[in-house]
Amino acid sequence: MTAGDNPAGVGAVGTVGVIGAGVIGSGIAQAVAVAGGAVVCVDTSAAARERARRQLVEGRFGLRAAVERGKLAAADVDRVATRIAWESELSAVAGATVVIEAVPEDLALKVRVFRELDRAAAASAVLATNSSGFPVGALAATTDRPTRVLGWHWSSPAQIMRFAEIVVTEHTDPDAVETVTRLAHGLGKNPIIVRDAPMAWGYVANRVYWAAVAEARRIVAEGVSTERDVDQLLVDCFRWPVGPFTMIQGATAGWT
Amino acid sequence: MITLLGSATWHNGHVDGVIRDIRRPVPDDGLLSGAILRMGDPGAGPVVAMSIEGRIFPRKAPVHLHKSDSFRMALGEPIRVGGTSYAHGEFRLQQADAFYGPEYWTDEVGTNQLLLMADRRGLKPYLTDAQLQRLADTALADDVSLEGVAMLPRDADVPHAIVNSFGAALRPNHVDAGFTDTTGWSMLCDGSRLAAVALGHRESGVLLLCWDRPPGAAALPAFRLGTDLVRLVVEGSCRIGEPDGPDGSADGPDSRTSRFTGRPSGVELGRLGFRLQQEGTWHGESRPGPSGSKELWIVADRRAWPPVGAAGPAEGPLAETGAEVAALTSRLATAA
Repeated sequence: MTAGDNPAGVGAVGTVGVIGAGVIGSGIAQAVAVAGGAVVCVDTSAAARERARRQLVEGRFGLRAAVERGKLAAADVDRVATRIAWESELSAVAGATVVIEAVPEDLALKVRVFRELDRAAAASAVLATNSSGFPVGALAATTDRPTRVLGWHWSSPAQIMRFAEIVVTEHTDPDAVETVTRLAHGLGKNPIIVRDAPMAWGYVANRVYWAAVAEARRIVAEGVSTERDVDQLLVDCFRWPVGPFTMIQGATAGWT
Repeated sequence: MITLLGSATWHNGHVDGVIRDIRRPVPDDGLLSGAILRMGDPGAGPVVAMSIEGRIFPRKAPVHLHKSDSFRMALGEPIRVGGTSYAHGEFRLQQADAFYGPEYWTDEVGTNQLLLMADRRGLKPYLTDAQLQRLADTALADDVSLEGVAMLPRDADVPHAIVNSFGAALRPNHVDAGFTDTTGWSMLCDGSRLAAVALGHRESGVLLLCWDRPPGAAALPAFRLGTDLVRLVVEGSCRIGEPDGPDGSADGPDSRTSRFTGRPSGVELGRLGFRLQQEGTWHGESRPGPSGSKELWIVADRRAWPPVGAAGPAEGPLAETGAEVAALTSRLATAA
């Protein structure tokens, strides 16, 4: 596929803002750019921006690797890369239609970011959190636009995985949900809409997954098996791509 | 001064208990079955809850913050805060003024954790959601344990800080640690390991001392402390002697027998056993049980540490803890 040759027209959605240039944030930026969208990726850390810029091209799931796998034309590498503007200030997302927050999984930090985003982004913009499980309603309530806030939970590597858990509160505007699901489809994702649960962490995917991880840890603690063997058994038995312990390592440290 | 929600018979300035499920038959051993208490400064001292009682605490709490640093440790079954699960003996130090949660504890009827709010005026939860806030405020108004406590408003300035002696990083608004792995803690002269944590007010806040005492370690001598103390056995056991001498000494044929009866004096505290010790009263000598003891000590006002012994300033491990605490205090002063 040629970059930008997407029937859903990701570019028509408008500029996508991404807050955070870590493993997930830079992966999201890449996913949007490869699909033809313009991206503003904000990170206050110059080192993080530089690392993300490098990984975009040279990383294990970067553009050159996509060329090697036949997913991207070699001539498109530079074109895709230039679709992403790497910025240090939140005000850079003022023109974005959708802003996806992907800062570290710390609730107080996310609350601060959402308060600032609420001031920096256009009033009509949809603000999405890539939280792994914090209640979306709690974040929405810190803004003056709770109807335009929802969850868009990605999995790592974001540029590869089809996973798109869209978390809506009772206040979320259907138009905001439609905008985000249309964008997700345009990126080749498979959006599934779930309800926010104010008293629980983890939405759907992580609640189920961490229940399995807890049992896996108990098994290792009891000396029944090792982390390595638990991983292998689940790969062999259920055709999981990796086991729970490898997944934790990859999700936190990256898949390089 | 320690004040309990509920009645208890104090003996020589202390009362002992064990955290146990009061729905089940409780043996008539004279021990409390959990405690909810205020300690330290009568206006702004800590509040501590360690009990299993379903009617006092909800099972779940939504995202919220407190106007105080707080400490929570799982006891028995795991607890969950946000995406993190804490097993027995693992704890979380949470900075004041920072949102966290949702939290839930897995016992089906009540809490199974030790919860400490460094400043009782910070106990009120502030939520991001106005509707949930109204529900929380209603529940708070009915909480008899908070009678007479004026809660800090949302915009109050809270000069709190958390520092620890074992290098655990603030990430970025809380610290996770626990009794499971104590290898990073300081080694004391008697083979014990110690972790010290300061939280709450920068000058007069709470001191937590986490002990990992090996079997056979020499007894800590009797001491007297100028502030309230809570002592909880997380793992193993310890025996605390009865300081029946005028200077706090056990004064029997040896330090483990009563001078009056010749029988073993004091009390054996097992897993989840605790002691509440009033400010200025003598605490008997104590030694770890046959499998050692891992203990949490809550000192209401860190300025009162270290304690004094019968012969004057504390020596040995207690004196070493004084050095650890002085280092924390110094770091707090530098940071300020």
